[in-house]
Amino acid sequence: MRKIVNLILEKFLTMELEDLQIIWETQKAQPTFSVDSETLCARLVKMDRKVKREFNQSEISSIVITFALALIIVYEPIFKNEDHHQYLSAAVFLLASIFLYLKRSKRMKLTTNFDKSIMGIVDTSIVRLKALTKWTKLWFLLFAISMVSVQISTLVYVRNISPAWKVYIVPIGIVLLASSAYCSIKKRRPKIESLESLKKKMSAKP
Amino acid sequence: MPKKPEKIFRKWMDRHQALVFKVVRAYARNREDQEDLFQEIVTQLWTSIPKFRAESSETTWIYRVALFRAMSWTRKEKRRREGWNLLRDAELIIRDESRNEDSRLIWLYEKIHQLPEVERSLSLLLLDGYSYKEMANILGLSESNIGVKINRIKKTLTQHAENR
Repeated sequence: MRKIVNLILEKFLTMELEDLQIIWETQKAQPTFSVDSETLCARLVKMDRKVKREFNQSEISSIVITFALALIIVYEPIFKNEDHHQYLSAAVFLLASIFLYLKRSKRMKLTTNFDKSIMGIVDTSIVRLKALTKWTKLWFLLFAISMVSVQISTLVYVRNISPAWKVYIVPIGIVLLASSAYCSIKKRRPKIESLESLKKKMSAKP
Repeated sequence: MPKKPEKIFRKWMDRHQALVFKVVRAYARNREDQEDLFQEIVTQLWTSIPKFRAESSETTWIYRVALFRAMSWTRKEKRRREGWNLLRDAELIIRDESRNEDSRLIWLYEKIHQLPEVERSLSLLLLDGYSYKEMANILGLSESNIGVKINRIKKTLTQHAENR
């Protein structure tokens, strides 16, 4: 009996990779979990459609609204030949609609790049996220400059803005834009950091 | 003519779901985390379908996508938005059949959990019998780097076995 116990103990003490692989293989004969692929696939298709629909609704309506506002603003200077400073406001809204359109096109093209290796996927994901951050910063600057130009031109041409609260529209707009840009950059930062740390761990010299 | 994504996904799940569960179990301990990671991986697999070319085998592709998602997954990221919860009625989709599981397998997963995240993925590939070259291709690391890491993993796992 003692001999048998010793033999078993010895077997455990000298466990090799092959023994671990045998243990590992037991999963094949008796899977721990199983999934109903039909139901899962149906849910994925449903989720995919729902997400696409939600994105389409919010993006298309924003593009249409900003573009319509640009047309409404430009109506008076064109057809009544007055308030020419409004050309600049219309340009800002037109710029906004172009921005939203480009953002939408970019999002539709963006899918995770599935490189030939995990390191490649990590690299392209980092590059993509950093590019998106740069893009957000660039567009914020462009909008801020345009809005400030509108404010200055309004002050120069109209001089007396009435009602007085209209003066605050541009600063408020810039604050809102800045906070939205900040939130979008902040949301991406942890993801970039975690991917960079993964890259570091993967490429660390043993 | 390309196959419909639904068809490909169902085929992948029917043939390779055990692989996905292995990755999930190696990276997430409790049931809630496992469901979350499983959801992340299957969503990523779904979005990867249009990019799949027959240049690599299905198994290698699924391993690559699943391991990437598992390594970059963090608990903080849990998707709790209503519309994104694929497993709202989890029992309908995943069936836990671990009651009569081999106790040595539970022990082995426990040891894998103790490895750092990159080594954890290598240990899965190692136990599944992948060669150093294949592992290097999947991870995008040099074979020599893989070799050193694998030696350390083997040592750790067998040491753990000796301490058992």
